[in-house]
This record gives sequence, structure tokens and C-alpha cells, in this order.
Amino acid sequence: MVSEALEFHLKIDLPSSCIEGHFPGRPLVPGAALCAALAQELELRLRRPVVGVAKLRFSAPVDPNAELAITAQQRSESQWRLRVAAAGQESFRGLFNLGEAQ
Amino acid sequence: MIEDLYAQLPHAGAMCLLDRIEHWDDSALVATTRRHRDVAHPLRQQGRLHALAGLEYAAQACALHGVLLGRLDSAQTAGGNTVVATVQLLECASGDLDRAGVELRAEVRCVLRQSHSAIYESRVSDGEGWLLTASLGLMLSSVN
Repeated sequence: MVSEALEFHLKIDLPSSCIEGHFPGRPLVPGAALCAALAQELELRLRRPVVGVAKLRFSAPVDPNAELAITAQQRSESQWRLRVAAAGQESFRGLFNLGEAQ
Repeated sequence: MIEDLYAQLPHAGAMCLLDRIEHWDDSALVATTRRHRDVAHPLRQQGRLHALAGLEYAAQACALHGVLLGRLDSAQTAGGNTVVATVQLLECASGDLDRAGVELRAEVRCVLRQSHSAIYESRVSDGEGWLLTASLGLMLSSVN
């Protein structure tokens, strides 16, 4: 298998109701929203569904206006390691598991 | 009742995702909601509510459980500042949450609780079957 790698930037576009409610006075991107945004981006690029994640670590809060730098490295035929940094600081890492193309 | 519990969490408005607590005890909680198919859902991105967004339902169920435990024992750290720090393993259905059945059910079970951390097993499902299962590592610390 030839291991592939991707690097891209992402700005998460959330409804105002999310930003206002999570949390009032200190808006932060919900970890679930970050995971979902990453999964949707991977699905678009790889044309395969994300069916799980493993060894996720949320290491720093993500500001809703942050531009995220994503590094994705293929580890196996069905798994990619993603690392997310905002303003040079790692905020998230995890392994995304992919299902069969639909 | 659930509004009183959410008042002790930092979440507000539409981000209070769960409607009703069906059951809870000192180790587990079950909550339900019917708002996941709302077109104005706060976690919707690019027209989708990805199954991974279900992680927030599980996290909020854990936080609500922490609040209830805090009421039982004032010495315990309440759930008001609960944040998900790690997820050891999560499996999700390939369909989106807004295509799930009428009612979502978030079930969480605490398998380890210490003064500043906890581990929960969680499951989000609808009447048709499971949508997400995850093992969550929580930090019970301030978000401020």
C-alpha cells in the first residue's frame, strides 16, 4: 500500500445558535462539531464514509473564528491519522476509520 | 426538570440538546430528544448533521449525570464544567443523525469516576438501532 498524505486548511462554519449556546461569553467549537467537520471533509476528499474514530484527544479549545491547519496521514487502507492545529498550537488529534465507498 | 439541570451547565439556548431524562441512578443516565431533525439544528454543517455530531448528545448526557450526582453528594465535583478530553473508541452509523427515527436516545454509564476525571461508556440510538457508541474520557474542570 502506498501511504497518502493530505494537508489542508479548514474554517468551521457553524450556525449562530451553536456559537451563542456553546458557551455564552466564551464561544468554543464543540468537540463533536469539530469531529463532524473533519469527517465531512474527509468524506468529500476520499469519497468514503467515516464510520468511527479512535484515540481522539482534544488538547486545546478551538475558537469559532480560527483557521485550522489539518495534517492527514494514511495509516492503513481504512484508517487516517488527523492532526489539527490552530495558530500553531495542536488542538486535536485522532484516528478516523473509513467504510467502503458507497 | 431538565431545564434546572442545564442551568448548572455552561450550555444555553438551542445547544441544550436533550429534552427529557428518562432514567438515572448513581452510575447511569438515559435521556431523549426529538429535535435532531430540526433544519435549524445548531450542529448542522453544510446542510448535514453528521452521525459524529452525536458525540455531543453523549457528552451532554454525561454532564447532566454529573450535575445529578453533585446534588446527591456535595463533596463530588458537579458536572457543570465537564468537558470531553479523550475518546478511546467511537463507532458511528454511516447515515446522518437528522435521518434517524423520531426520537433519539442517549444512554451513558459511568465506569470510573474520580475527583477530576471520569470515564463513561455511551450509546446514541433511535427506534431503528444504534447510531453511535463511544468511550469518553471526561475532565471535570472549569471551562473558564
